[in-house]
Amino acid sequence: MNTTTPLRRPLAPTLPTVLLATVAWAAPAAAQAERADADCLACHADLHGQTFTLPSGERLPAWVDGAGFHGSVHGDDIGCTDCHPTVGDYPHRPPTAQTARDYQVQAAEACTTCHFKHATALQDSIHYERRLNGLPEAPTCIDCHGSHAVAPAATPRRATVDRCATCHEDQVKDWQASAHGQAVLAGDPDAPVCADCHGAHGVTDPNTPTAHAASFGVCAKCHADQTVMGRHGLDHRVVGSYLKDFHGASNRIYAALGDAPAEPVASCSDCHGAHTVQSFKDLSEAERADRAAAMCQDCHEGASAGFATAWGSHTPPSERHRPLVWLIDLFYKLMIPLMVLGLIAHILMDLWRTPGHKHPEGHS
Amino acid sequence: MSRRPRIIRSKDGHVLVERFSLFRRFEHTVVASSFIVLLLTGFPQKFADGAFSHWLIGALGGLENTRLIHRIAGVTFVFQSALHALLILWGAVTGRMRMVLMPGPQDVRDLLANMSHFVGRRRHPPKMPVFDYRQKFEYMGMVLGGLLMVVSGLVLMYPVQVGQWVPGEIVLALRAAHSFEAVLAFVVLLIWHVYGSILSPDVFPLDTSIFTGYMSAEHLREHHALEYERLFGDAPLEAVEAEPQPTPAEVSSPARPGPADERHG
Repeated sequence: MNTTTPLRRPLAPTLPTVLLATVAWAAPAAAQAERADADCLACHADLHGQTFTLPSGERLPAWVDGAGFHGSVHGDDIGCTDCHPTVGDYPHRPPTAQTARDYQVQAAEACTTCHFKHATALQDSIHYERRLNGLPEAPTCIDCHGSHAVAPAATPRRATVDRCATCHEDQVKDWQASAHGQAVLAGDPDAPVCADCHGAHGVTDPNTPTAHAASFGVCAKCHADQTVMGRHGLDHRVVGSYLKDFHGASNRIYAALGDAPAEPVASCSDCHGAHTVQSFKDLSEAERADRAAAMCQDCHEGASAGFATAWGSHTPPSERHRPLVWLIDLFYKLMIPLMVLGLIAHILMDLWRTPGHKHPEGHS
Repeated sequence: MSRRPRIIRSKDGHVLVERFSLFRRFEHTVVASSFIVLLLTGFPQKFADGAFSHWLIGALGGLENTRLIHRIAGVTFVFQSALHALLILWGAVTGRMRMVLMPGPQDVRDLLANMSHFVGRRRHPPKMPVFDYRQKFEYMGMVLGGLLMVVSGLVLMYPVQVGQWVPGEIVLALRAAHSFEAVLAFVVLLIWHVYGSILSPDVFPLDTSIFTGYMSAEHLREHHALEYERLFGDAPLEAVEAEPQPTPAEVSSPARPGPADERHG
């Protein structure tokens, strides 16, 4: 048994872990942690219905579900004081938090000690930013993961949506009715839940112009993947065809530069919807054209139905689909190499017959 | 253009024949600079995946700025082309312009004759006119390619308006053409123009006539024999004389006896 650390999980060598390791050197660590937890739970497991009062007047429960804690991912590894280091012996020091929310946010600081990577990702997120800027209910670790009864990260994907729904109810309802939501609810492991598009800890603001310009990359993660699309009878070339067309050609450059246009340039979700995304598979060519024309007018004032056909659709040009474009492609793909070869051949022959090379007397 | 070209004598005694008027040299400068700017702002959009493209677009102040510069250069090219076309139209109507760059059947014969020379079936290359088939090919490429770029470029600037009159597929096809034609124009310029006016042993290290406006009578006799004969008949090079010029502007020969006097004196 490894006696150098009270924790069986690998830890980043931060100062607290080094100190803990040193302190724990003398005694079997798990036994020590268990004894400490037993001391705490001796009271707190029995404090049903009891609360403690914060300066704001809010009351928080003093009761801890000991079985729930021991059944959590942390149950065997860390003890009460690892996350509640400031309570001290009994009688406890009063909490410094003024409000219940302050108390929760402070408690979540303890997660940073071990989960450094996720904690820093969270600090780059829109959730963290909103919490610092006057929205205290913006989530911290324990709002999504729970506190004493932390569930394993490998929770069914479907259940992660419920955590987002706590605050983002409308978006989750839209998603549930969408092609993606329906597929997830039907058990499709490929279809996305919230975090697949937005990220989890590092979720950024999707409503900025920069995020909009780069948003095709979110869809491309799956829709440009031949294997995944093949499983669903979808065409993985849709992303490539978008990137070649007017809008994609612009947005790929804005995305590469981390830049955004003054007026947004259409991205996948502008035509297909984001949370409300629906399959176009069952639409006829004419229905798709009608929808495209309606969508063009959203941005291009005065766009006619004829103009809408300037959107080449996701089908690459062929002798049947956009034959004129196909012909021009073909013409230049033959013309450019032939031109290069012809000009170079002419130049080489000219050099070959240049006076001085082979026929010094040859010039007129 | 129909006037007889100026013929002067340079400081070092060469007889020089005017090839490009000041206005033609101005046109070359405008076309060359707008062409280069169009390439530098267009290709990063075409090759949107390249790190160099991203760097260049960033250096130019972002995609919107890059497009603005592209359009300014494009409109400059449009005005230059329109002026060029109007002057040719005027020259054709009044009959005061020799259409020396207009290709004709003789150019095909010159090409075939030169090919026979290349493969050794003919001892000498054919006698060429003032602009030979190689130069006419490049000029006509510039005219026709330029026309396509102007039309397709304007369509791309006003797609919604154009889409009200023509099917969107035309817009899409012209976009493809604009993109491909740019590559074609670039490779022709890079290979043909750079060879013809820089790397060819005939002119290396540089054909300066587009900058000075003049070409030596010797070069003219060797490479544009028909024009030499038109100007000087069958006179040998030694007998060719410069016309008396009050002040030859481009190649000045300060206070000294006139060239004819010098040679005979």
